[in-house]
Amino acid sequence: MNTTIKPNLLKPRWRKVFLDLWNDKTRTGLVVASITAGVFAIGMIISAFVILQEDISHSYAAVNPPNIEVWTDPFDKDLVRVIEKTPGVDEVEGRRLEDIRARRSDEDWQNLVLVGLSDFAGPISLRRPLEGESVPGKDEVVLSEDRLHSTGFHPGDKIEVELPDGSSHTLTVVGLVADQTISKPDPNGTGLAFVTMKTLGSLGQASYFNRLYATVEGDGNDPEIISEVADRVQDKIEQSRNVYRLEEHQSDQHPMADIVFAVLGVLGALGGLITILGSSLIINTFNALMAQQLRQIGVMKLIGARSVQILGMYLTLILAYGLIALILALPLGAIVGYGLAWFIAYWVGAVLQGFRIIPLAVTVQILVAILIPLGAGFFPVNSGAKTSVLRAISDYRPGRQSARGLFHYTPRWVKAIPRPLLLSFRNTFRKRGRLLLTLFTLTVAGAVFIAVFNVRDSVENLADQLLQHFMGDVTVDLRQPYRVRKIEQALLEIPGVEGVEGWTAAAAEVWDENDDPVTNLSIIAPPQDTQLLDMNLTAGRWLLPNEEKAIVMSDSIYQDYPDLKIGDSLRIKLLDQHVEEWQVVGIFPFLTLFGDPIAYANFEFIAAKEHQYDQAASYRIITEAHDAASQQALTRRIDDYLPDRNFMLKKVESGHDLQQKATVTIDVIIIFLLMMAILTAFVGSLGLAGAMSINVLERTREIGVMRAIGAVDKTVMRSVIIEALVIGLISWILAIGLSFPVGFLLLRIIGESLLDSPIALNFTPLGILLWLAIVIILSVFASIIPARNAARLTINEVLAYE
Amino acid sequence: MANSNQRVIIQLQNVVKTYFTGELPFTALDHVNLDIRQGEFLGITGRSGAGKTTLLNMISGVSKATEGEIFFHGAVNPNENKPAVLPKAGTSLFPPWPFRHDRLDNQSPNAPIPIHNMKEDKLALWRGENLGIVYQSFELMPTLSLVENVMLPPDFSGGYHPIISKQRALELLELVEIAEHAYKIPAHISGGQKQRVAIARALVNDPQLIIADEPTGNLDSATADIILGIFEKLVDQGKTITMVTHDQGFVPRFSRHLQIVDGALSNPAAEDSALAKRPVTPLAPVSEHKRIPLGPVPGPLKIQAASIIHLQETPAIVLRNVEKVYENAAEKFVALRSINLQLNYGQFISIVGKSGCGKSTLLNMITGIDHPTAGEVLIGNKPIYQMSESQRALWRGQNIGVVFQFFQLLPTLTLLENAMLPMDYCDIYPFSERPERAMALLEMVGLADQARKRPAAVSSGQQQSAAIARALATDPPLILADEPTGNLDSRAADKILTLFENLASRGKTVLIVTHDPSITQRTDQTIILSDGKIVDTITPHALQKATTIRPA
Repeated sequence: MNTTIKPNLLKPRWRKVFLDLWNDKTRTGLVVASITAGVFAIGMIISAFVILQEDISHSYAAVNPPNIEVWTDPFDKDLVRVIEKTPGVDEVEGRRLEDIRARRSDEDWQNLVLVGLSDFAGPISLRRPLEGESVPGKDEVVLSEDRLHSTGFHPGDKIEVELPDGSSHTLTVVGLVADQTISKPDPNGTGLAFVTMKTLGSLGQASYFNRLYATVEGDGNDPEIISEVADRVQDKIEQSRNVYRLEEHQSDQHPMADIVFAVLGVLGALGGLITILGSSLIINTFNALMAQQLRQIGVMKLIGARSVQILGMYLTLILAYGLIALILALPLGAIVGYGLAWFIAYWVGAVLQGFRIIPLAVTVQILVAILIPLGAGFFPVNSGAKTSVLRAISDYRPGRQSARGLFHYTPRWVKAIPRPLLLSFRNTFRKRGRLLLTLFTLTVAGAVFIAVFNVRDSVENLADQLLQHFMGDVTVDLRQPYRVRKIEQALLEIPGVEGVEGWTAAAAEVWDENDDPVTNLSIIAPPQDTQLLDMNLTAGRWLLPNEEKAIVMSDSIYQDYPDLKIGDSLRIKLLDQHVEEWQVVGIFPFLTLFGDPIAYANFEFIAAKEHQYDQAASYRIITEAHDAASQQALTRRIDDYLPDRNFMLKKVESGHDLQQKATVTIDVIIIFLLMMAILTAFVGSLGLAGAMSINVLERTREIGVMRAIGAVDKTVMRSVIIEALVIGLISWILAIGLSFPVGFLLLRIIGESLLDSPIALNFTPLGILLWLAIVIILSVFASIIPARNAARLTINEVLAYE
Repeated sequence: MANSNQRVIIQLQNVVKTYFTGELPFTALDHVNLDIRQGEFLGITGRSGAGKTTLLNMISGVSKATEGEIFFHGAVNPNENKPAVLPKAGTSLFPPWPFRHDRLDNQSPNAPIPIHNMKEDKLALWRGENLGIVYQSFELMPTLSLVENVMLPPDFSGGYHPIISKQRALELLELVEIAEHAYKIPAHISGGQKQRVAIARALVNDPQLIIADEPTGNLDSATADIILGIFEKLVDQGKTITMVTHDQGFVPRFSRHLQIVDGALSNPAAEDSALAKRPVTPLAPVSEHKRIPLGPVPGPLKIQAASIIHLQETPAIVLRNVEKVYENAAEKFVALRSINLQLNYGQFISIVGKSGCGKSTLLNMITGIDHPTAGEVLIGNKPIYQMSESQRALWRGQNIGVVFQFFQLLPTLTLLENAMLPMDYCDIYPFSERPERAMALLEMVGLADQARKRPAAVSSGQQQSAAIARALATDPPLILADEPTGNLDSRAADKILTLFENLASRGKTVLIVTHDPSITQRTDQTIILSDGKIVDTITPHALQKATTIRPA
């Protein structure tokens, strides 16, 4: 030969591996996609987890959050200076907080907390500027803004604010800031409106503080140090004033951190599941590939290949799939992981330190992308590589099977089924290993999908259960107690109001034997015949008419009194009153997440204790219509009507609005869960599509025969689609069953890690029906391409497979 | 040419191979003794099922002998038969293989290697280094280029070098005269070209012995001649070739000829070989053969006698100037050349010819399975290629019963269900009558007892009978069969042919394609095809048959 020979850099066998990968792009695409989904999910979750873990603490610590927060009587800078000198206290700041309402021109009122600061450069609870100014001037206001607290106001907006005394003023919004210390779940969570003390003065408010913030010297993350200092601070304040409430916080514990990591934990578990599900397609694909290439394997052995060389070739192919998936999943996981972290950070008001690659995520992704496919593919590849030459080159063909087996039983009634349909059914059960793997993938995917809907329903049901403690269809708060009869009459005149209940409340503390406060306690006192509570007590009974010193406690009391039983007494101290022994007559479920326990007592009893006989400041309204729009309309009518009648209105809120605010967190969690469910469903559909394309490929000749004996295109396609539908429907039925344990598990994880309480599983047909629709569409789509290809093959091509 | 003084490469001693797969043990090789000597072109001929492939499998170690021993005698001097054999290629063609024999149990180069009890992986290595194998179906790696296919064995045996191996592969491709297509993939070359590549691949590791299993079985006669020429050239250059074939026509070209009959090797007498050289067995008069009458016809099994009598006014099959050209990147291959044919109803017709002569293509033209490049096909006066593929599928189901060589029953359905399937697809006969009719058809082919079994549970002959029952399900006027007895033993084949005869006698037109000339003794008309052309039509009793349409 005269021409220069270009060396073949790739040995022929590696070139065969490469071409196997390159030529069958459908197979490569399906396998790579299913590995990628898992590797991506895992990378995304780990990246987000690590970034948030590092950055949320960092971001939170950077704002210098208060370690001690004290609700007390009005005070001035003198007390601040006194506390500053308390041993262990580092920095102290006084603030003035008032509940206000605000609105832009004729929009609906929004509840805000007005925060008066004497020094915007103050050291504690720093705010991060988001938009506009961060320090307001006179008659200007800066608003806190995050995912959970959005007012919709923007710099430049003039807003009307209504103060507790009923006076109305106009302030100009000059900036938006993020305040991470408020981003905790709270059924009444509202945004903050920061003003200077000067502005407070111009609003006619005295320039005193009512909230004291302090940080501790030394380790602000040590609960013991914080507790010691807090005790000293409380003692100091109580020398001159009442302490109504005291909270202790660690410097690096973002209020939402636990929830965020619990959510990510659940998502991570689903990511792992997706990876496992993805590997079933690898097993199916390689089982089929080894069967298809059995003759080639035989020939390679005939020309000198040893089993280990063949094994090496196919393991390399698997490795190549894994590497392609890794190349796709690495950047995708890192970018989407950062995006997820960014979204969650925005949601809780935290700031990330910037995009970065997380080495742990990369390491785990590499391991998963290599080991999972290798592990899944090893057995089919190994058994294929070890097949004897004789078997490999003899007339063995994939798709052939023995004459025995479970599905070969032919009952008499089978006669009634048309043979083409029978053929589809039998084909479904032909490759049982493949069917089981496909069913497994699709069933688990479906179970997760259905379970997510049940979980959503359960959590929303729980939210409804919880919110009934705080609201009616519409809740009216007045600035002072009024006679219940009077307000009832006034409200019932408003169209849309069906019933009115006056509720009262009292702040209290539970004290121990040594006269030390154990916990704060909010006592709620509804009328005896309230229609707004529909509680399932976990123990004991509801209050009897005119029963005194009896309470129905939330189960969050168990945190302080784990052994508390019905009939036990608690030492209760109402504000400004003496300690008394009250008997616990019932326990109801509640979330410890919401902080201090709450308790129900009789209206008459509490009203008498508070010296407000037959009076109440809070009214819960039962509406005629229960939709959001009519509730909001009623809210507006009340808003106009009560002040006209000279009632001092504090706020009117529709149940729907409150519910929406309260369930924002839950909705976000559900959205994440759904995203993962969809990703799982995607992997499930890849499994089905892969299995169907393998099935059709293996049965190409049979399809040719069907055509040869009279089957038209439609018949061939129908035969394949029915097969996929049968698989889809079986998996659907199995998924319904499996969705219950999966739902229990998810709720347990969410309940225990997120809410510290178990959640009862609710059942909704929505997920089941939706999954049915998805499975049907999926089955048709997963089989339509292989079916079309099958129908298009001419018999000549088919018989060329011989 | 080799003589008895030449060194023995392979030695088979009292080799017996018995298969225990069926109901009775089947002895495929019966005490075979064979020495294959260096430099000889050994041809072993025999009919299908005689044990040819089993013998080659013994030599290659692919299949284990039930009894007896097989030894391989390596070259005393590894380079003893090297450069000189292919002078054109120069010394680089056969570089000494430093690894040769070293890894085979550290045996000395002179010690015979027992093939019969070697482990699979050692066998693979041994084969790679000492044996070149050529198959009827070429068995090239479909994704690799030709040159890569040839480079594959050195890759596996560890002698791969990116330049040297490629150079050697190209030289070998040149030797088999296909170097110009070196970078094409197998799908883009013809069968004959593929076989040349397979030969180049077999030569690449400079094996002691080349074995070829029906290497011309899938090739037309001219191509087969070229392949044999290559073999002869290799033998002239010192290579040793053992080839098995059913084609007696090659006998004169072997340096030594053995015959295998029922698993036993024999050295055929000179006059036998001379007889065997005749390509086509002369046809015996049809009248010599007696038709076996059918049993009583079951109720629902009605043949459309009236319509067939009506149909005889028009011919069953008309082909006018039908041509079929296959084109690929490498070449244009004319499979059929202006075929003109007219066949009437109620005949039993065979199309015969060697492998690759266009028989199956012709059948595919009539069944509507493949498109003619030119010309017209009328079945029952209907131009079938004016229908869409899907319409044709339905038409075919209603008008043609197709019987395949490999039966092609659907494995998940019982024989009864298989027989019902065409009625379902074509929606012929009321739903409730279909089982009864299918059962009657199975009864007719003698499978009533097996009706509820699946194909895998019955014998090949029974499967083919069931396939015929299925072909009759829609009561089509035409039955077309492609090598229907190709995979059957002689008893089963006889039964199937009898069935066809009976069908023809009941008014069906039966057209079978076969390479077995003996079948033509039993048909009414024989069409002989060679290289895509009808070279002869033998109709000894055509006139007599045409008038003898016997309704059932």
